[in-house]
Amino acid sequence: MKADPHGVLTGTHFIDGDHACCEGALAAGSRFAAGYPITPSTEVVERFAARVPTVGGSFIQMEDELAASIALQGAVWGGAKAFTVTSGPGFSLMMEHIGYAAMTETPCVFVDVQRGGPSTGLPTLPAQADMMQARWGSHGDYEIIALCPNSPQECFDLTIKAFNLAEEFRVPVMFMMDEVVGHMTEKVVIPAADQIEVFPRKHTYKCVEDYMPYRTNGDMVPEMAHAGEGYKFHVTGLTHDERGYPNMTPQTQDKLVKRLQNKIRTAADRICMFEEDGLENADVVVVSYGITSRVAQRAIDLAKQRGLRVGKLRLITAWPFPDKKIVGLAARVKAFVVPELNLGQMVREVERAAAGKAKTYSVPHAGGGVHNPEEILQAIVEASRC
Amino acid sequence: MLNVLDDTVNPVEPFLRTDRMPHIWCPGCGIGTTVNSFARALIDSKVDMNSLALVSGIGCTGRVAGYVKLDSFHTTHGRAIPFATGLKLANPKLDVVVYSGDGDLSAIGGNHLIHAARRNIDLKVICVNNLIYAMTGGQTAPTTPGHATTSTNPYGTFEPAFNLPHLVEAAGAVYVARWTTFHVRQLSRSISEAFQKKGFSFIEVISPCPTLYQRRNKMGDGLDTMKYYKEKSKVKHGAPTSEVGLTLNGEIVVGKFVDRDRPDYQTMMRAQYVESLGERYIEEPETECVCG
Amino acid sequence: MADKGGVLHLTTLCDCHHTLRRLIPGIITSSAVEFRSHRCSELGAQVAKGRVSIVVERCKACGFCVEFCPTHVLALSSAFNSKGYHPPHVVHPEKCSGCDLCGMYCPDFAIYGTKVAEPKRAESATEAKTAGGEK
Repeated sequence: MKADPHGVLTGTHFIDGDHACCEGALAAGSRFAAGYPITPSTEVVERFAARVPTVGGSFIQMEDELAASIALQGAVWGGAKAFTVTSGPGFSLMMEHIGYAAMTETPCVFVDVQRGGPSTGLPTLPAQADMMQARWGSHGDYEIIALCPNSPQECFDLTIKAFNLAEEFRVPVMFMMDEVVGHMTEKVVIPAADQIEVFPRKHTYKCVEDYMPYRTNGDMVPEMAHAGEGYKFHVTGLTHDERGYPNMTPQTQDKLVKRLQNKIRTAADRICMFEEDGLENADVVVVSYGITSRVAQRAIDLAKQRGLRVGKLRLITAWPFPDKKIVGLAARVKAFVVPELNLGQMVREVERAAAGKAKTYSVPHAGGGVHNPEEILQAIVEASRC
Repeated sequence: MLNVLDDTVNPVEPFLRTDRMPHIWCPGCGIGTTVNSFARALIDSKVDMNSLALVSGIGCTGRVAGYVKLDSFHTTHGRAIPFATGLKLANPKLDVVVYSGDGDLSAIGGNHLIHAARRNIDLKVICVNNLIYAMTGGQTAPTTPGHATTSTNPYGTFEPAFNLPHLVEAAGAVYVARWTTFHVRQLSRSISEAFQKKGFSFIEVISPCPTLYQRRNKMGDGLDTMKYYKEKSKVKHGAPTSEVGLTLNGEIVVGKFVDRDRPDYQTMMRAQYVESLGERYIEEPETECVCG
Repeated sequence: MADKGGVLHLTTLCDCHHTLRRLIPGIITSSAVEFRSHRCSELGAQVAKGRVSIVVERCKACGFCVEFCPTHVLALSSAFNSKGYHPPHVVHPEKCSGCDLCGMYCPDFAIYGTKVAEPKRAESATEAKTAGGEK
């Protein structure tokens, strides 16, 4: 369906990534946010708090991230599209509820504007060190989707995409920004509402007697109902059956958890987005995401000037990891160079998928700033020689 | 179950997920008794069952959500109240009940308890207080009276216990009552009164945990405990909440302690926005932007 | 065991209904007997204003209903349900007022009391006297 014009601030703006993310949420139809202040994410909800009373909906600043991360899910079951924003320390606190959202199949968006860690770390400086946490941070077997914008424009566009994916797959989506993208101010073009595609909630059309909250029809994503519509359904974080009732047996566990995994993995081709350039003739492929991809672009350009055959693969979707793409490339390129603002996280996925068919060079960075393009260039040069 | 002979039905039956009976609570546990009072209150208050949602946390009382035939949410430990807050804000027409235990609401959930009371979120909180962490095997709770024996205080507790009515009154609750599972009718009446009120209502129900709390402390079984409630309870409506703390085997002050009026969260929010934004304030989304 | 709908109600005058209950799942049994009013006035006994229904398989023999029935209608029986608990049975059916306190106390939703409609007493001697020929 088309976006609700009330939430779309059509026009050309000069705003930072945090602000653009908020506009993306509003354009996507989100009318509820619960948040807790944490640098460098706070501006997202500050803007939402200012905007939503004139659009319709509500914002509540909760007493902590534990409360924010579950209040938004209550709002989803009450009928809203909802999200929260945080950074590293808050992301850690939210982990239990990310698992709850995955288990109960609550569609929602968690924005993590990554900063230096671990612990309190560097509140005002960037890192990309929550990437593995985004995937594995909660306990148990579950899947999430994670997107990485690299500009304020993408903070707008991809937030809408995040909400759409959340609704389509009934899954929590991690929106992995970083402090630089969040705080950099650039041109952001917001189109007219009728040019924005929004995925509607998978609400059931079944009557009360026929409806089962966790029954699927082959697409692995059950239909939803909201509280107050007469369905009288039950939602629990316990292992449950199609009726939503706790059913704690190995058989139910197997069926449920595998479905939660497969509903994402079997759709990976559809979910995975990347930006690629020059991969056809590449010897070396630079795999990057977020702000690092912009620094990497400089390094790639410099490498090309030296006559090196370098291709670019920018991960827009970090999770599910685009295994197929890497497998395909590994068969014909010499090496991957993976610069990231961490000591080596997504590089492990690249290495795993490459399965030894191509070499993998990590270009780590402890965080607190961005790479010097020279560092990445150095790695490209070395990779070309192997 | 329908009595085919004369079509009588247990008044609580329409509120139960009968396909899940019998439930898991122990013999002599009082949680089921509180559900009877709750069901009667819903009947008496004529609450619209289609506009009622029940949110629980983790623990024995948390299992209530799975046994009642309502839109019910069994959430994470201690977080029923913030979930309920989000639910209520997204759909203000709902009556939202939080039904959870003393450990869930006052220990891990303590922060959310006091903030929701402070904000006066329109929630009806039923706190079944069995003075212990029952589901996990009988550990000390913030409400366990001093000198009781628990699995994590095998030599006796020595911490002062929370006086829950005092805590929530201080935090700002507009309706605070305490009953025991012996006081089935009064409890039902209190729940009905809470449904008539807008704002944060908190009803504590002292309940037996015969398998753990009572057994470890040699207090007999559920029935012995109910007799103790009958004998040792004193109804003191309006009693100062600072004076209603519980002690091991001591007197239990019950009654309606607080019944006051102040605007609830949504009323205050609305008023503030109207004052600041005037006609620009839009309370609810005007267009369908979720389901299409 | 989960409840099933559509049950048979069996009323007996003794404890044997518990045995029947174990053999035939899905029935409600009780030993509350409806007295006819004329028999009552002949016997000079109390008219039962209520009846008790017991869902034997849900009972966990906590004893609340027995203890808190204001007129002591119930006692725990010596029979067993399939979980091994002694469910209650009605020992003074004539004293049941249908107040449903048993139902309110029962943590297992295994018992409830209902009021019975006052039966017509046109045939009773008392009424005939007072009616004085009016029909």
